[in-house]
Amino acid sequence: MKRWLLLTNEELKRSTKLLVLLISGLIVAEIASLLYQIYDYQHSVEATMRIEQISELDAIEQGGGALTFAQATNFYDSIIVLAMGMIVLFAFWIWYRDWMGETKYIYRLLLLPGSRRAIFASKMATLLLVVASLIGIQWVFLLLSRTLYLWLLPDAQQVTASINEYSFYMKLFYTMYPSDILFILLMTFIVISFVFMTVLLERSFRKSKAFLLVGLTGIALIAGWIVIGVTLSAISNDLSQLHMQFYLGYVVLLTLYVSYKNLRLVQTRLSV
Amino acid sequence: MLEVKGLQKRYGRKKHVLRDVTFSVGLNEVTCLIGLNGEGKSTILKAILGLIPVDAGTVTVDGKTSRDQIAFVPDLQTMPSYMTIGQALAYMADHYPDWNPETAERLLQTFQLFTTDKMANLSKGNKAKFNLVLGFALDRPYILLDEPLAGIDLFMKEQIAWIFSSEFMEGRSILMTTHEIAEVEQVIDRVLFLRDGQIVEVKETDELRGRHHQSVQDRMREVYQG
Amino acid sequence: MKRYRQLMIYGLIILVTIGSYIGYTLSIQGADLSLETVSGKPSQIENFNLRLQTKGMRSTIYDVNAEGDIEKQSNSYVGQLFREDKITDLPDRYYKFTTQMETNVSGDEQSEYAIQIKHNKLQFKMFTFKTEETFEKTFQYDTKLETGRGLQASVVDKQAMKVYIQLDRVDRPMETKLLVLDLTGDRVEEIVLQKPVAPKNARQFLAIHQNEIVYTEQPSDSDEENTKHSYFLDDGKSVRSIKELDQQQIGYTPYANGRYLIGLRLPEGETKRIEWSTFDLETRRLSEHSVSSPLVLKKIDWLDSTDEMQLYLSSETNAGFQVSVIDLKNEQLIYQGEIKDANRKKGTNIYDFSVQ
Repeated sequence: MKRWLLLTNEELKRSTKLLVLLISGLIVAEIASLLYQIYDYQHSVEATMRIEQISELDAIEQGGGALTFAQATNFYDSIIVLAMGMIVLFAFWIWYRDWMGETKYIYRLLLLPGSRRAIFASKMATLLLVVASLIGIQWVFLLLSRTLYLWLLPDAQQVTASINEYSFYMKLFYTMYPSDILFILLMTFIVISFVFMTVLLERSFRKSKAFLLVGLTGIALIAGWIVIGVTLSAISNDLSQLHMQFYLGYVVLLTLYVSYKNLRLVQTRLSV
Repeated sequence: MLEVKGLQKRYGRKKHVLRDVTFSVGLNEVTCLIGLNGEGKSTILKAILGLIPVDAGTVTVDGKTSRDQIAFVPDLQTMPSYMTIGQALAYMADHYPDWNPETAERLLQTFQLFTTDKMANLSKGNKAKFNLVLGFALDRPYILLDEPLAGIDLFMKEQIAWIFSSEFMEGRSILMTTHEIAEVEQVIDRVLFLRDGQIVEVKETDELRGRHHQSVQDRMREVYQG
Repeated sequence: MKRYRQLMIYGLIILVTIGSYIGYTLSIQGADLSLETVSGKPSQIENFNLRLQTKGMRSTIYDVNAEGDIEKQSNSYVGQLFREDKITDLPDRYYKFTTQMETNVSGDEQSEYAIQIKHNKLQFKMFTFKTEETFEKTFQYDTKLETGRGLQASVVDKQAMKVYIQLDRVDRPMETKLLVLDLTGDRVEEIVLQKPVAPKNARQFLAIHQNEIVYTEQPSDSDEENTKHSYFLDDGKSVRSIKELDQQQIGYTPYANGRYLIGLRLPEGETKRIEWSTFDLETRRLSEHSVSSPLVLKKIDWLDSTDEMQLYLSSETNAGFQVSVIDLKNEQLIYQGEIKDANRKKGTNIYDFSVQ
């Protein structure tokens, strides 16, 4: 336990610069996009008022109504998707950086006493902590965005409803059911497990064999959906309604198997 | 005794890097693994340490397969560059129950390294010396060194070579690979000649000097050229 | 502690930020619903299910039944995964048949019907919701046409062991036919009507009562909502237009094996009266009826009915929602219940309503 905590702390320490860059990039991009949306909207209302010689209220109505919070935070979805992509890249990088550059930290890790499972666990824990912190930071920033939105726009141009009016990805993350954060972290764990598997296979075997094994896993994921669907339909109509549930169960089992294999790779096949 | 039996390692189907490598390293011995570039010297060390998987073979220390009696001094930096020497030592103390801080302190003083020195700012020679600190400050009887003198200047080499005849060698056995035979010839007890992934000859240096009137380098020429 | 500094920093960030999120979610109040009987008794009516959905943060679905049981459905990811959707369990064989491309499916409150016309055969399957039984029969029906390929078959009505089917040719509205299947025998008969479909019109069969057929006609290229339907009564010998129904601006639904055609007059805004017209095919008379409601009814969008000519309707009220059950035959309000939210959440709406 202590080893795992120490190694996780070290991974976080090594990642600090990158993560600070990611988080500040996220915040700056979101503020910029919010300010842009607000400015753009106000500019368009003012232009309409000037050209059509109508009142502000009429201009707002003509322009399709007040600017909703979802519209003002329209770009947040793209930024979130980008951040998710960055996290996936980070999941690759958290391993590969140990082999790259002048310092070969992988030697240090593999030579440490005790089980190598702690190495794997520390990297996974780091990813999960980073994702959890990003979710939390984004939430706080969403509240701040809301305050900014309410402050910058005059009453007639804003929709003073609850923060309910988010964009698509915000709704996916902030469902208002606290337990869903755990569900999201479970999904993160599943995705990261497959990313880790790809890295560990590549670092343990020849490229061709690694590629093949990754490909087979991909096929297992896709084929699983199809096979489960067909099998359930063949058995009964009732069961075919539970396609998604069965598939999720299958993915969870596959992830457990992949995790087991990952641990085995780290313990027995990983090579400097 | 560190015993290596039947190590086999292949890359792909055709490239045999190690073929049935068998040898042992006794306590209080300095053993040198010699071979031309690409013969598999580093591969043997890494295989012993479990840094690469092997296709066959065993490594035991006093009959046990555990590697916690073996320390490693690699020829590259293994601590993150942002660390200071002090932080690196703290890292070792945190992770290794057999870390000896007093030995580390003494070695630092001997090598004139300071805890505030940043890893990123160390010269190649100082990095090599610090690697020695990391290896020798573990209370382990067997130390494996991979090219400890590679690419550093003469004076640094002398400083580093000194360790093999110092008090830090008490109760230790060394297995090292090096091309800098001249600098360490005097402290080597045994030489293993590696060719085509196999140990082709084992010689005690006393025997080489006494009976054959040869230096290790002389013998090298015979093995690899003649 | 210094060794774990980064961990603690991250832990703190997570604690504060996600803690703030959790605190926010906990402060959201759900609805606190209860059903109060305003008139009549729940025992006198069939069970219903009124599904309400709250708006805003943590939108939730609530199911209310005649007994006043309130079931809340969690919309969390785990809740959605393990939710049992209250859909009818169709038998596999029947269900597979309905999913075929050549099968046309239609239905009423009691049953679902699936028809396939192919290779000179008419395959008829019926699933009754209450008894959960399937009935199947194949009839000989000579035609070059196929359902799913230009032919559309839908059940107009089922009376005892006779099923009346409207057969439309997708590209030829003037060739709409009315077939009757005798489920005790193996005959498919075409009911010959006295008047062909008027040019550029489309015909819709509405009710069959004894030997009389009621159908509507309207221009075939028009938008259904705004066009006037013309009503016709064909008694096998002649056709007459039902001018009384033509003049109404409402749609009619058959009841009691086609004997009555009932059209509801539902106002757009608020009302305390439910009004309807009844056309009795036996007397050929149109009559007006109404019941008054103790509650003010707003936005009456949800209706369902039973064989026994009971109309179930659900709408908003000033204080929440209501369910009323009206006996259309005897012109009586049998039951009315009001659903109120003690937490007075705004924006709640009716998601679904049906008789069970």
